[in-house]
Amino acid sequence: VTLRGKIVALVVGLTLAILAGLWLLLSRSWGTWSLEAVDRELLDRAGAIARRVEVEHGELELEDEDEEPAFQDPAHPYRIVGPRGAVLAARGSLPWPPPDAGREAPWTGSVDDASGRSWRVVSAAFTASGERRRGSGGEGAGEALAFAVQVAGEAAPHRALEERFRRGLLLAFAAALLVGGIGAAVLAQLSLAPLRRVAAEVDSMEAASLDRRVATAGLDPELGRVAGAFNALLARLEEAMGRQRQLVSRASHALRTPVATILTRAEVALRRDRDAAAYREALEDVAAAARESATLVAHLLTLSRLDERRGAPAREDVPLAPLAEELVRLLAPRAEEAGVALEAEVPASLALRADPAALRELVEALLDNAIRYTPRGGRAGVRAEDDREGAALTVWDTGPGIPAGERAKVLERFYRGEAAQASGQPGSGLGLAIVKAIADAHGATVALGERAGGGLEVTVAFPGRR
Amino acid sequence: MRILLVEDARPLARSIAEGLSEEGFSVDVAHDGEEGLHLASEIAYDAIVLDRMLPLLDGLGVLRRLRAAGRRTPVLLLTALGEVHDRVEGLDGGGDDYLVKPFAFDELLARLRALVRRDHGLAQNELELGRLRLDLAARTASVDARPLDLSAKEFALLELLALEPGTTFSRTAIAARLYDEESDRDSNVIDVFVARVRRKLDAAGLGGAEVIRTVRGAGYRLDRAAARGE
Repeated sequence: VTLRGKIVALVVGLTLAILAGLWLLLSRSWGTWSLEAVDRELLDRAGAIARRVEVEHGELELEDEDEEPAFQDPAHPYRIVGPRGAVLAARGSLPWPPPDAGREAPWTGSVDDASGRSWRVVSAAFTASGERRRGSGGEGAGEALAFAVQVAGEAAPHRALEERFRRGLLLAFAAALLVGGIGAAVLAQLSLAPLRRVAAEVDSMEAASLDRRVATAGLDPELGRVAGAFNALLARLEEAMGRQRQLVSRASHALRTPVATILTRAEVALRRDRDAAAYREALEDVAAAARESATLVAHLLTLSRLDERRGAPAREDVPLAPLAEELVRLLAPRAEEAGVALEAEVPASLALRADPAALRELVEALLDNAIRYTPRGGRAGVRAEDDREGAALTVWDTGPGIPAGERAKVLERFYRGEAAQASGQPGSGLGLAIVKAIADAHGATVALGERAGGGLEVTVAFPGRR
Repeated sequence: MRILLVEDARPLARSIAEGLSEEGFSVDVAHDGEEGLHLASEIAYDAIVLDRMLPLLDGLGVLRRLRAAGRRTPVLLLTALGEVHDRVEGLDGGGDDYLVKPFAFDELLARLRALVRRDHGLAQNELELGRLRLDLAARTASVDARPLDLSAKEFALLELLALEPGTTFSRTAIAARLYDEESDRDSNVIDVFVARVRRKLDAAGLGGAEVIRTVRGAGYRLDRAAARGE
């Protein structure tokens, strides 16, 4: 069932219920009100008749009845009943109610005559002076005689009127229902049109057109919120897709460039005969690119291993000083070649709660970066301190540093900072991503900052023991 | 033919530059987008080989700015991004051709030659000017099907003049097209080259001084009628 169908059904159903209630109420009230009017008129007639009744010599007599039209009207039979049930005057034969009906207050009711016609009958008690007994009373009290006047009127006209009223009401209500239904349909159509427009807009969007947005101008606030929420979702999707695309392009750049270098270097070298020195130079370039490729593969494997690992790594207390000193010793030849002095300044007592192999990888990756990007004649090193909050391990260098705007990005996979790219140093763009992954696994945080006196400082803060 | 190569991976850039130089191109190398844009704006290259991912300013940015500045130099995009939308983006951004890394060096050469050729309105690699014939791919010239023994630079000179016969090139303009930024350029050396090419044309029976005419005070131009042997 469509929303429009539901709206129309709801409106029509509600209208129907209201109209049915109204119809019941109105047709009932109408019956009561119109009967009251009929009864009042019959009572008036009874009163007019009663005024012609007088007491003569202790007997009830009719006086000048010819002058009173109520006596002449054939449509309204009547009966005057004196004391002891004596009928003083009557017209028409009806199954009259007993004369003492209406003694206290006027009696009204319906009766059927012999031919089955229905009549409305009023029976009221009077005193002979023509005054009603319950009226001012008193006058000629000595001669007062009680009697009853009963007047009838045919019920058919009243019934017909009631019928006509009901039918008219029904017709009006049916019309109201129809108008309401059509109105609801039109309203639903109108209010759902923007929704359809939004749906059509969204339909026409594709993965490639995530930069498009649903137009919110002219939308009702409710629908505007829907469109707004959708646009926000689109924005998030676009951002995610953008990030994904960037990752893919960076990854393909990182993966393909060394291969392209190897291929092109070899092809160009093979295009003609060269001397041994030229071949050697070409082979050195090929070897360097192949090494870069191998490093990249190793980094990718490390990352995928870290990604796959579930739960916290197996930790033990790892004394940091021997680890740092060993790494400094191992990397010394490379550092010397690059003209960078390596230092380690770690308190002998400091131990970190960590997976020893992963911690080693982390420190090595950071020192590797420091050596790689620090200009000749610079310094780099590792230091650590701990307090009650936890332990912090910092690898620093006197290199160009990383501008604040790039610090979050360099932790992303395959992202290489502008300075790193401009340095001409090969690099996978995965080193810091590995550092981040290892730190994450240990619940540690990685913060990049500027070293006092220039250079980069990468601090890995391990949480304290709990 | 002078080519600008913008590529940040230095060993790769070195290899391409070396290969192209050996094929008779003079090559300038830039390692980032800004340097590339600067060179491309300053010098009239015959073609540009442009990497997509570059530091400072990416390849597409370089391309867009070049085109916005009205430079129509043919551009071959060299990139690790091989997806359809990347290629479309590159070509729509003003690129003339697209080559995905890693590539075969021969393909790079062929595409570059095709770009330069198309830029001069040629449909094929053979350029025929009367009795004189140049094969731009093989980089050989012949007169009446008899090959001329030209050095790479001599061929480059003849090629430059032959691609736009009738156009006068000054000595400095010729030097700018024959030598890269790092070469020691002396426009007098152009006269030496012209003299050598003329001698070789003479030897082949085509009047060297008539085919390559000296335009006094302006430079040299190739005379189409003389090349026909008239």
